[in-house]
Amino acid sequence: MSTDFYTSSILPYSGIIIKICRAYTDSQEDFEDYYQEVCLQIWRSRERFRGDSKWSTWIYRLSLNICLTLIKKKKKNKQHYSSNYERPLEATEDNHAFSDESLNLLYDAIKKLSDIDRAVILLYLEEKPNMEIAEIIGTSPNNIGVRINRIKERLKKILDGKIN
Amino acid sequence: MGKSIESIWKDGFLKDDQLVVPKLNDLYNQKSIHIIDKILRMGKYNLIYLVVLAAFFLVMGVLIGATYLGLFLCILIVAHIVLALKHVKQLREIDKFVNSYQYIKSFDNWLQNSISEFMLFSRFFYPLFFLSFVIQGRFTEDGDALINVLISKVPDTTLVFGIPLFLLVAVMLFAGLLAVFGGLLYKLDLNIVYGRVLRKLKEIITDMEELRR
Repeated sequence: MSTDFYTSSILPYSGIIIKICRAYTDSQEDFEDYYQEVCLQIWRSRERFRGDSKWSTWIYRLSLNICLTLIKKKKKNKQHYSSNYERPLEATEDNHAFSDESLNLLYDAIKKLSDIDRAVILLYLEEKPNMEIAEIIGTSPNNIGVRINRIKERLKKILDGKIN
Repeated sequence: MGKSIESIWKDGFLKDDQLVVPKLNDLYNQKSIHIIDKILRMGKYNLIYLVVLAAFFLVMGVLIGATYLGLFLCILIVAHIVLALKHVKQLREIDKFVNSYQYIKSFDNWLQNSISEFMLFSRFFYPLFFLSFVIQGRFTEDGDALINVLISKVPDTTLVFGIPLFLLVAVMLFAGLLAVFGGLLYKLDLNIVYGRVLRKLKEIITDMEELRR
């Protein structure tokens, strides 16, 4: 990957990538691996970007797809190596990534959601319109609206009393 | 809960230190290690399979009264195992403490060298494998019966050691074809088992080379 491409086409959107990768990893090491993998895949797939959507939307979609693939692979490996693995992927209390405590708690709560719900809420929090979220996730915009409300209710329940 | 999730998100990311970009270095380190580990793991299972196969041929040969055939096939497969072990020994000599690009390149060189030696080996392996069955068949009642039928159909054929010459020619021709195409047969077999992972290795090397440029 050339430094030029990274600086001009990936770095301005690194915030998006970081937010997504953080939501799908529970350690700094995994986070860095996921971030690297996303950057690599963006670079490798750059010629497939046809301009049908915004570059940022394309990066969102790619980052989510890569994280979902990686998390699926990781779960499969864990099941393969440990037959009695039952613990869902979630953040450990001592492994907080941000200096803002409320943000850490919100991320912990997001990590308790299903893989797809995590993607939906991340896009919602990034103020993406339902239409765009639906396009990225591959579902109908109506479905997204209902889903967001349900996810928000669930997050509120998880966070209830934890944040003042 | 006092704050909405939207405001936690917004306020949280207002601070400058929240989105620290990780450094991208030694990008392919993990990938190259994973792919090499995978190939080695597959190779190990393949070796175990060959040991089992050698034992199977020997035992089956004894059980069905074709001891020489069983023994010969066992020796052929053991020769394959010995060659593989020789290459495993060479692999252990690769320096693992160089950077990932040099390591993956050394591994690829080792792999290509192993493949070309096995292609050469296969040019003997497949014909010998085929001929051992033919020779064993010659000394069975069914083999005798077949030769008798062929002689009765073509009574004026020339016999060499009691075998019709045309049959001998056909067998040698087929063995010759196996010798010529043995390497290709090996590559076909290799592609079926290792194709996907070898393509991935090639892809990684290409990417690494592009990254280095």
